[in-house]
Amino acid sequence: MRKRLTAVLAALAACGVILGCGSSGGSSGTAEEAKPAKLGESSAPEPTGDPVSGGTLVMDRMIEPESFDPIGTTDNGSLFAQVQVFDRLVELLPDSLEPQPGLAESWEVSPDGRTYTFNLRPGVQFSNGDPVTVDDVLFSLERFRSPADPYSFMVTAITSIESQSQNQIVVKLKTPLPSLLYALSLPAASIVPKDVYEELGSAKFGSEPVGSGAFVVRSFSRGQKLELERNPNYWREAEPYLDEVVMRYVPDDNARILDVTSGRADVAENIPYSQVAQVDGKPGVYVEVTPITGIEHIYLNNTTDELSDVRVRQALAYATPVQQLIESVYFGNVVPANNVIAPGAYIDDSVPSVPFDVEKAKELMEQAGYSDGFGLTLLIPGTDSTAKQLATILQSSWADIGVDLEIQQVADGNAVYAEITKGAYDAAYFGVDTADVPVEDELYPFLYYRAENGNNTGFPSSAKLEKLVEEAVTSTDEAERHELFSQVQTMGMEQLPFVPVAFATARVGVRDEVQNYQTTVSSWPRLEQVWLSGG
Amino acid sequence: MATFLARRAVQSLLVLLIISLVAFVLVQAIPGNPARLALGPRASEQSVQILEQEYHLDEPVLSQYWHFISHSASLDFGSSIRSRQPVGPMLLDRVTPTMLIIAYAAFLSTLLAVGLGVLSAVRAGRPVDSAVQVGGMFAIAMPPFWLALMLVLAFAVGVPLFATTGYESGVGGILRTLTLPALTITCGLAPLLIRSVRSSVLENLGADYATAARSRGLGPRRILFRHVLRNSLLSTVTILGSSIAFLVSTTIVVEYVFAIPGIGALSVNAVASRDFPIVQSLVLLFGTLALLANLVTDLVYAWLDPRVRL
Repeated sequence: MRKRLTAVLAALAACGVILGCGSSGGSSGTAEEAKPAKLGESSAPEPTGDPVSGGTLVMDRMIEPESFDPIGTTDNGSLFAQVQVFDRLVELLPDSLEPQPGLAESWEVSPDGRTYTFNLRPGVQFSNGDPVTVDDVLFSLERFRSPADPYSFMVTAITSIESQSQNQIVVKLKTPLPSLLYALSLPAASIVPKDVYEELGSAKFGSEPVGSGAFVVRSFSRGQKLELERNPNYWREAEPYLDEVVMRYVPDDNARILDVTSGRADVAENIPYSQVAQVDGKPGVYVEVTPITGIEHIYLNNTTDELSDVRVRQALAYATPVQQLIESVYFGNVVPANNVIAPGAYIDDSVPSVPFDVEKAKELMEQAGYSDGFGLTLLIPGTDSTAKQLATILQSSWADIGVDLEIQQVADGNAVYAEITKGAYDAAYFGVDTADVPVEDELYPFLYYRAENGNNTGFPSSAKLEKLVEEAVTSTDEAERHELFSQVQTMGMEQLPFVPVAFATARVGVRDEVQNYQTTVSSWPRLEQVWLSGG
Repeated sequence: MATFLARRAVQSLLVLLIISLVAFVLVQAIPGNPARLALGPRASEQSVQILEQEYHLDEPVLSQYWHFISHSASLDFGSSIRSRQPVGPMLLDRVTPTMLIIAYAAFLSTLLAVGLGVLSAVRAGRPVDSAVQVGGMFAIAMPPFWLALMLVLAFAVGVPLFATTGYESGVGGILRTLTLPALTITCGLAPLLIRSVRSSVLENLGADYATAARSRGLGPRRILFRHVLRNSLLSTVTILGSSIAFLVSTTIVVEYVFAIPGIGALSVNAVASRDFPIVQSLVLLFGTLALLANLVTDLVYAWLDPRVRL
């Protein structure tokens, strides 16, 4: 089933710089039919037939869950599994960027944007039969905003969370926090049963969790597989359709690909960019390429003598052959980035990406007084073959404007990241950089002023950008937020604190009989609406 | 024998202490703060500090080392920074498949070494001998990750006799899931052993005692299997014993490809995420395994060669 990839390529060819990948619900997948999927639009093919209950979905995953304790876990292995087992007040579902009702069936926001009242869905039970109570919600959300939780930085504006009645929760804020619903849709804001958690403790709950989500953990063999079965008490009617989900831990790329192409697995996550076309061409399998909230970019230390000059950073961006990188490193499965951070709901598609223009780059270098060029060291993870390819292409392209790039391999992505936070680098690449929520509220503050968390990449703070971002992340007016974020995006693409390369995609190999397998912009699938056709 | 074992135990403890200290310092030298890595790039400094305090990561290296080693003495290896699971039971769980693969591979390799090594020595210079030598070089030249994939393609996907990934216990499960991993390792190990058996058998066949046996009228089979082979195995046992490092490192690759929940895969992930409690305990475990392998080698040596007294 080649239609997904054909559609994607056709869309890219036709639209150039449009965010997202092709999506065609039809059967032939010609260029005429292709319409580019945007961030948040479904990239799954139309399911065929009506949902059927039953069956086991076997998924090969690259990373395994560490723990089911929603607090303290940040790895995709854990998050993807937590999403299936717990519910949150609001949910991020595959075909929308707006948080949807979950355990909260509705909510009201006060006119000043500082009070959120959530009405809990009545009659919801945990998988052990206990009702989901306000106490459970309070307990879970208090843990979510406690300093021990790594995601608590997103909700520091919360001053109190209280129950108003047996089915109402009121969240009060210091300042308006328009991204609150997004934060509450994070796996870390999952609702867990207070009694069970307190009895078991983090380590034990981490292996034998109880939640109200679509699936229940039946067995968890660390290092090997996680077996889930349907939650008989699940509140969404008729869902989940699947009886069982087996998430197997298969770290090797080729082993996962062999499994999904031979039918030993129904789904294989993390198909390498280089192998998307090959897997998509195999009978019985297609590769779902979904735009996610991730960006591939080159970090620049904006405090060095050369890189503190905006003209030099611009020159490097103009001298970066993005299209060539996309073709030879990402095999056409990504689109050029027109922002310096991961895309979110407020991305302005009309902002252009930086074109490849060596002459312009040379001019800028000359203006900055570097017509003879200078030497630059690029840190990359030694474990990542994509990074090596990327670096080699950059080395030869940047040489054209006199930049002598020395590629320095360090242990792995985490080691590169450690050097970045120490500020001990010129330029660095460590892999895809993802946002946890699909709105710009999370990343801009870090980039432009919130440097205290060790995430300071060296961009000198700009009073104007800081003010714009602060306004945007506290504005209660949607139109104003769009306008402000668009200005920040435009300024960012002029200032170029990083060299943007491409917006990332999730690539999942799926067998044809798996229906309605959809990946959210946060890369995880929502499995409650998946079914298997034809056995 | 008893004094030998006692002396060995004391030596081993000292060696383990030194290994663990060196490893401790080395692991800490890899860039990357485990707490920061566990919590992600945007977690607040306060979140990081809370986790650091919980795992004593904010203390000086030597004090952390003391903490680890004093608890290890009472078999408390701490808990994982990532999964919060206690490390001791985790390692016990994970060491079984790894030891099974290593034992399986050592068994297959020894079998092949004795069979083909003797055959090749007896038929030295003939086509069979050349075939064994060339085959051996070919097998040893193949990188394990590639060989593993080829085996998966050939056996598990083509002729579905074996599982491609995962691990099952029980004899049937072990045969189904661990045969291909063991074969992969055997391809790297057996050729070394075959060469060693071949050359020792050749050497021993020409030795005085073999000539004497022949002159006493003993049949060639009896000479070969009762006398020559036993003497020839001495060097092979040494090679096998010192291959433990090779075995463990190849197992890491092989476990990764076959998705086997052994200590190989665990160590790769633990190092990548700087999960110090796991990494440090693994170093102790690997050290213990290497020392045990040496001990077993010495004991087997003594059993094969009556001249060796322990």
